[in-house]
Amino acid sequence: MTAKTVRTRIQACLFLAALPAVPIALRLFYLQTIRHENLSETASKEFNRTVSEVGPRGRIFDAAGSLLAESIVTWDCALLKKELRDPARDIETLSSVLNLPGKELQARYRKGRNFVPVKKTLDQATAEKVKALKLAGVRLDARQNRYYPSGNLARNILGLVGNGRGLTGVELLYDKVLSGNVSRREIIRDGSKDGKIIFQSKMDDGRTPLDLHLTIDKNIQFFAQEVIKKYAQKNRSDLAMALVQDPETGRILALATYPEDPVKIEPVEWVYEPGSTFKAVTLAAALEKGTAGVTDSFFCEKGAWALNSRVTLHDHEPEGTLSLSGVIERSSNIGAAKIGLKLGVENFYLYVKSFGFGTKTGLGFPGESSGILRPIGKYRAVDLAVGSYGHGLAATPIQVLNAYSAVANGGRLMETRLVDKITTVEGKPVFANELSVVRRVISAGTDGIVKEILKNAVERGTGKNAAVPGYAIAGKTGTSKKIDPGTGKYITDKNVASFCGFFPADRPRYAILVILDNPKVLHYGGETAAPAFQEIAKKIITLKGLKPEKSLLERKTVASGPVTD
Amino acid sequence: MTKTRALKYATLLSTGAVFFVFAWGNVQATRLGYNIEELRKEIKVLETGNKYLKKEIQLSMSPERLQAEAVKLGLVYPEPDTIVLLEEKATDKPAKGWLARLF
Repeated sequence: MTAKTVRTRIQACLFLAALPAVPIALRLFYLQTIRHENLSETASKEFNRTVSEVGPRGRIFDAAGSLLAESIVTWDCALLKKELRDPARDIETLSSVLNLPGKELQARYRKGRNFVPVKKTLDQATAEKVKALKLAGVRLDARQNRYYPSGNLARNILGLVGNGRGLTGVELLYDKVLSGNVSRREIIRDGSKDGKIIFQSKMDDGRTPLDLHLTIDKNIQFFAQEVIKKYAQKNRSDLAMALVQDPETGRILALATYPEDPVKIEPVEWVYEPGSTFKAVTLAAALEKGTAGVTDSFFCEKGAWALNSRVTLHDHEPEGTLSLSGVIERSSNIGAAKIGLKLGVENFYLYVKSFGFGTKTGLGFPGESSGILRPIGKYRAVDLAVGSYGHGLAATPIQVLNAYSAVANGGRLMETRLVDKITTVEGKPVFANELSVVRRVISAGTDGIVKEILKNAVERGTGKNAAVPGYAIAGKTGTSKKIDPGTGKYITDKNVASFCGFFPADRPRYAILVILDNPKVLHYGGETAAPAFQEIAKKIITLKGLKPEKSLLERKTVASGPVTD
Repeated sequence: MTKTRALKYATLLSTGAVFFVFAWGNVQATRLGYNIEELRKEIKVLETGNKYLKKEIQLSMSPERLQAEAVKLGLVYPEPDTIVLLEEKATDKPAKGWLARLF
């Protein structure tokens, strides 16, 4: 065999050996170039996933930076029936770890198709225990859940969250600020059974949620809640409220209601006839317009005054002639009506509006009411007379408190504030809610006289149960009859008892309104709401270390007298 | 060995080396990917754990809990007239001892 033949044979062998590689190369070329896009897309679908993850909602803090609401990861546990290896044993193990009755879980297992929910909102420790079991077919889904470290504290203000969205209260009002961001990630998994993640990249981090800082003082809110619960239960009232405001800034320090209802914000939604607490508004207006003076006296008709043939005004206690201060101290309706009638409809209406009645406070809650104030054209003399002592008109508790704050701070109606600031998660301020004066309602001079008269009402009038020995408290009791919504007439045996006041009277720092709706044990504001005011005031005094204005010897002197208003 | 053959071997080796480095790089990237993912999971678990611990602190600091604990100890709220507030005088100088400096 010649060398040439051998070479030819080798070449032929090489050719034959290389021949199968040709279609493979062609196939590869076809797949890698012509079908590249389709195939890489299919592969991406197989291994790559774009997942969306809802981040935590923003936090809510009180004025001092104490946490009121935060989102935290919790786990929902479920069973996938088809993947369980030993259902009976797995259910038993799981029920013991989750502290669930085994029979109940087995019944749920039998009823379910493939996906059987077991238990929701597991904490981290429990979820770790379940993971450690390494049971096939047991699923743990992480989700953001809202929790409130202080329990029921300010829940009526904070509201509710459902599926990551605010449903009521501040959570709803500031939902855009607090909403958790939806981040999207591209994930590449390997081909293993579990599909372990090899790589993930952030595609879109979304908008970062912000933190909300309320003006609420956690401790004052707690005191208000505790006290209002105690007095509501003691007097078996249908609804009770305690509101605390800083009169200088209009900042709300506490909004407590009992029974607590996170669906409603009663202090801005609920309306009532303010009754005698409204006499402070009539008094301020009359003094400011000069239609009444401190030296004036009013004959109170011995308890009954026929305004016309159909309307007779009554006082709780028959009174003779009372000074201007006496009318407020003794809470004479007839005296207040006479002050109002001297003031006139136009002036009365102007000041009622100026004090913020008939207008929303601007807190922004969807259900906020502006109260009920009939148009000036429909105001007759009788409406003016009864309106002077807070009947025939309706207000929200926040309106009444805001008006008293205006009296407390020297005559300026402040814009009510519930949100102090909005910050980033790192604490960088994004928005600061500066204090804002709506208008000056009365002069400082008039204000001083009103304060003095309200101080007298507590020291020797119907509000004596609100007095705190050693401290100057100014305030006014109120008791108004409830209206039957069906007939529009007053119900004789149902009333709203209230007390609104502020302290220290000379330089007020706290304005408090206490309301008890339909108290069934004691009925008057002086008997029910004034003691609740006193208890809240005492706790605030102790908490904030407010100095007494009177010496130790002067502290325990409180005048006696009727509290029937 | 001729120069041409040496060049052929060098080309073959360098091509092999390039493929090896490429393959090694890919293997390393995958391995690091797993490591990163493990660490990411670990961070998440630790962050959640941290949040849960903070939650415990907040819960124990809640006024309701504090009051319950205080009541258990027999403590009561003081009345305002049982408190005597002492005014700080301008002449009162802060203590300079080692204990005062420590706290």
